[in-house]
Amino acid sequence: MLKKVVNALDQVSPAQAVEAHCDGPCGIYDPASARIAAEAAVSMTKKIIALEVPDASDSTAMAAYLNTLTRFVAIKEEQAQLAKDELLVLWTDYFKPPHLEKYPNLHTTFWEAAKLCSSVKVEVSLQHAEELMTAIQEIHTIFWATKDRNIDWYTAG
Amino acid sequence: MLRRRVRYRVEGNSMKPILSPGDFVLVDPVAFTHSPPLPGAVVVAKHPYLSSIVIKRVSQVLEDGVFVVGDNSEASSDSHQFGRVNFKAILGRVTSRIS
Repeated sequence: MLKKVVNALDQVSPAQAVEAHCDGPCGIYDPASARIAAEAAVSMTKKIIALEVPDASDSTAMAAYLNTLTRFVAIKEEQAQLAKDELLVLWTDYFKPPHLEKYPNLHTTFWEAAKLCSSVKVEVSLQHAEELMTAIQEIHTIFWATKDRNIDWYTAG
Repeated sequence: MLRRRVRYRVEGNSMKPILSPGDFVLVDPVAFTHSPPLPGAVVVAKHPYLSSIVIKRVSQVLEDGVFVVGDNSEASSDSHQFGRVNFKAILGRVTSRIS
């Protein structure tokens, strides 16, 4: 009954809408996904550097070496690209203008992190791989601060 | 009790089961003039960076604002996504529901 009256009133003087919405698709973001991919790329960089070259006359050992090296390189390329994709999603989808006001370095941080992903993908550089991990840690700190949560940084490796 | 109330119409499912789309709520716009909201209060607030107005429940009261969540967490965009809501953005406390 009361709802009918209010509905009738709403025809004359419409109430403002208040949203109890989900603006989806899921709203689930976590820099951990970029961190895991970057860690894999760092690990592959180390493994490539540590790989011992066999005697060129030992064709079986050489085949095994080339096979392993190729696999390490392929995984490094793939994981570095994945880290970059995850960072770009976080940057463009999660972060909003008010975050930028609070963290004026946000764009530079992401830009440099994305460039480090490219370096790690293209090169075999332990220095750039480690710089990438530092950049992702910085993003982790900013990300969780925007959610008023204190989540410790950790690595799987 | 006799203070002015503002009427709003609910859209979306994030406050189910207590509020469904099409329900009306009455809001006390001066409820927090002299004291901050308490956890558990259902409030109407300006979205931190969109032009919309949201209706959510206060889960935590922080120094400069509140953390708000939807009762129906599976269908809610709330402080988990948009962060804290500044005290100044709170438009009032829901005092009644017409459903």
